[in-house]
Amino acid sequence: MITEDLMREMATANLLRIVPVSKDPIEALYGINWTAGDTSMDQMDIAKANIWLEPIYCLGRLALAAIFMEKYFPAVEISSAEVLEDYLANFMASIMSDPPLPSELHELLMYEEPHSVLAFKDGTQFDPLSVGLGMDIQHPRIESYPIWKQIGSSWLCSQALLEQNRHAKLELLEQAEEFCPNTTLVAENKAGAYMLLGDVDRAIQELDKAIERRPVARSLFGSYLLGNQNSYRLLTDKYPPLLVELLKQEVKDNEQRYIARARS
Amino acid sequence: MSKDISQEPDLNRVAEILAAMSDEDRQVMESMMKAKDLATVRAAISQVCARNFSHNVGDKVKETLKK
Repeated sequence: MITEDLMREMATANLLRIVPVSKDPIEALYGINWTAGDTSMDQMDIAKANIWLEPIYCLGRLALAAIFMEKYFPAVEISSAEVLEDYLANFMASIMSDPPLPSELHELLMYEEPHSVLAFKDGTQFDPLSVGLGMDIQHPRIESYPIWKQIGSSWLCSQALLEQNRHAKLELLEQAEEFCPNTTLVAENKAGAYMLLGDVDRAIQELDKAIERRPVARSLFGSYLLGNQNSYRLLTDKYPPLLVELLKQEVKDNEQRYIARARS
Repeated sequence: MSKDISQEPDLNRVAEILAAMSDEDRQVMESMMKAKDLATVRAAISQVCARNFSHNVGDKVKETLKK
């Protein structure tokens, strides 16, 4: 049974040997040695790291920031924030070559992956990626949630990604939704789970929910694959044609992988 | 409450959607249709939707900010 205390307990394990270097909470957060995972890691490997809240991807980093704040700055009110519009994705879009290189398109897609940061009562954010970059990243659009609720819900999403049984996968996502309602992360993952179960209408509903708040390339493309021509228009208006080609190729490659697996 | 998921997957609905989009993107879908395995198609599409946290900083942004 998932609880907020269980998530706290798990995060505490990563707090060992970390002490604040300043009495100012933001400076203290900047003083943590934030490590980064490999940018080429596959979704499943990231999910495995997330199960242990390893602070190398944003779920683990968020959990570490949360437990650090609770332990050393208990008076400071914090929440978590799901990033709906990503500063680095916008920045990346503005610096891409014309035509864009495949590596640039992959980098843009990475910045559009689900992301969460720590948020303070006054609306300012702390994104651990700011530390490595040496700049204060403030995402233009976020949605705040009770911090351990969102961490728990995201943790369940990672469990669902690793779950092979299609029905059990959806059940985990239902738990995630109940634990922290209305995140786009859960909606995006539920769309995939319903698709696996062949429940296309439900998949479309979930994807529509996600797109309404976070209209990123992958969701728009998924929606288009499910027959929504309007999503295709939005996709081609916002992104370069080569990105659409890259997503098509990805689906084709996935399909080949499934066929090979089925034959082996 | 979620819909009863014990029902049979609606493969006809998937086929209908794929057929409807094939005029513009037949190239992508051709190989899928050749496979004649809609479960595979579903699984491939589901990969597009199911996402995870995987944010880090890539080379292009790093290099640009260094300049």
